Amino acid sequence: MPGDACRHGEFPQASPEEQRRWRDIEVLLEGILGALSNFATAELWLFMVAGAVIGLIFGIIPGIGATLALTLILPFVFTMTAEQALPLMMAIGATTSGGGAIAAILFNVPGVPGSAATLIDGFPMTQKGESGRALGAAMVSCGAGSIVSALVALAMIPLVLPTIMALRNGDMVFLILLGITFIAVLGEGTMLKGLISGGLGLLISFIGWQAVTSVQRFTFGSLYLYDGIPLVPLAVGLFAVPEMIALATRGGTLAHTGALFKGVGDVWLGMKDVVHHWALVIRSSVIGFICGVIPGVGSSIACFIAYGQAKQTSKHPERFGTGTVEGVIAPESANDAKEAGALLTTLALGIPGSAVMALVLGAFLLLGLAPGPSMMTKHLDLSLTLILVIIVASIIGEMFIALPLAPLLSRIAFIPGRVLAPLVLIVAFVGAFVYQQQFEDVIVTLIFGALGLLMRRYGYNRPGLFLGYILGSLLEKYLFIALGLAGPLFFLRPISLSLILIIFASIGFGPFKNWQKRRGGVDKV
Amino acid sequence: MRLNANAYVLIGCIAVMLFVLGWSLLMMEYFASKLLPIVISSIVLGLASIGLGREILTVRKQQETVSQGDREVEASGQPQETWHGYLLNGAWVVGFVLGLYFLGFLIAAPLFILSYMRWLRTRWHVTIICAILAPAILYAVFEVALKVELYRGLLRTLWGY
Repeated sequence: MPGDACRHGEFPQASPEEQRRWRDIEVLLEGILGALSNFATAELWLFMVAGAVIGLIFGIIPGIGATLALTLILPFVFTMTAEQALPLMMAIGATTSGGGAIAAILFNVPGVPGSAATLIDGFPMTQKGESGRALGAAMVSCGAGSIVSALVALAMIPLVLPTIMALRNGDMVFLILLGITFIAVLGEGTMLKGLISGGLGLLISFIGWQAVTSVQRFTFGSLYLYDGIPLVPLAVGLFAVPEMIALATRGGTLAHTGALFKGVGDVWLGMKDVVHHWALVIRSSVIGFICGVIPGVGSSIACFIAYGQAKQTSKHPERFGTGTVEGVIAPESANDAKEAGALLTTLALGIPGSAVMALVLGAFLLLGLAPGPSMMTKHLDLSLTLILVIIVASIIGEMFIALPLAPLLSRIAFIPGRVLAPLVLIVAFVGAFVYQQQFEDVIVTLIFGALGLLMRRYGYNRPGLFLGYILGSLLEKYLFIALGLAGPLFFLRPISLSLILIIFASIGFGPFKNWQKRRGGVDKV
Repeated sequence: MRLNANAYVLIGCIAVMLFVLGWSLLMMEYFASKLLPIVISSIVLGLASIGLGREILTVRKQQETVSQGDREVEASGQPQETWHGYLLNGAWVVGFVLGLYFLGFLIAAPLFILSYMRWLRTRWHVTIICAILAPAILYAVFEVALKVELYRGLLRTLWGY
């Protein structure tokens, strides 16, 4: 009897499965307590609020967005600690969508790609004189979307942990290839161009010293290239320089139509609308979270899916497109919810699902942190802190800063491109130099700026190239470990074979659909 | 037969991949160091070749689509991004980098702002304010606050400043 064992000073032993379950709960509780204690520091709040403001400003300027903001912040990351840099970057990523919503509602221009669905009903609401209601609904939806998705992410951590533990080195090879493939297939441009971009990124990552053989590759005798192409100049050149050159070429102001937002009159009505449509918020947030988890699914896809389901489930679908508040609530909930899902994939697997997360991953590498299983075990407190930052930054940034400052923020979108472009270019090149204080970094920025401009012009996938560059060295490392341990047939595992199947299915799906369409046309004739 | 710009980009990509493939096969010593470059460059070479083949087959259709797209863009009233514009603005950026190399950030930045903004037809008072504020902020943030020395330029280094 159990009682007998206790009387003799012995305690009944739990089964191995029970012990594992208790250990997982213990790790999770320690992580939660660690995250809460991280949140008690003034430093974190300072950088988080600064990031929220920066994110709003960059989000409200059409065509700029989180990618450029994070690219410009990246050179300064190495001067900060992880507790400063990561909340700053996560807050920027969390609040740019709120800034984008302001531009979409007031100016009929999506500030960020994810706001493209918001303007369908947001701008008509402005035209009807309901801009305050639309803004109130958008900002509260953003905050609510972050909360819901963060809760889903927290609930999924106990499921994610065993999945990560089951992965082996060989599986990681195909997981990395899957991430690159998804970005290529689902991202900007055609699939062919996306795959070429990803391959190019992988090849760029091979420049320099190889860890396995200690051989220098593609350095052509240059000492500068011994450590490979540096991350910050590449990112700045690829993302910031082409955008500013294009902006200067286009000319004009970024916002062309719309009205300056004057006050917060019916904002409270919009906030009540969100509470009234709580089921829509939850549904849209879950859609956004799922889209965020899948690498390569852009925020615009998530928002349009959410908008579509809102229209289908609405009692008055005919009102969509004429200025209904549900048409603002759904996409904005999904837009912010996407971030927690993308963060979970980035932290747990080290596979960033977008350019924004690729830049966050770049920051992790600069800070000496390795995303992957350790982020869900040893550094679980940091992972949970970042998820909490997304929630709190969204609430503070979008509900307490954006709404009162909307009249001022809305003027930023009227800054002419001819003023913005030179200033941002200077900041970009300074950032590139400051990273290693070598002038060669400025040359690298210029070269990748030219490459980025070419890619932008001809529809090649820049995030795909950046992702390939970030993951190339990891891919090689896992590949050679897998070959060393299991030989050339390392891929003969159920997980690896499933991943290979998904890779081929995702590549082959598009051409198969085209073939079916052509065959259908021929049959009709 | 006249190829479009996309085709030339793919030809450039094929040329680079052939170089990478050749270099990996001939110049690298160990199998482990050349495996992935050979595999990836071969895949990209194949993809680029497929893309080039498609471009050649549909070149006329592409040209009609592009010119129609241009007309649509012009009709919508949005300013067009042309290669001419890219090259001109890109030349300014190259000039800025050259200026950086010789003069350093604190001199090249205001000169760049003054000249580039005026070329973009920004008003004088805005240009002058930006030209004064930008180096001042750069100096305050980097040299004073972060204690990071900005690049001084070749000439200033030679002259000992």
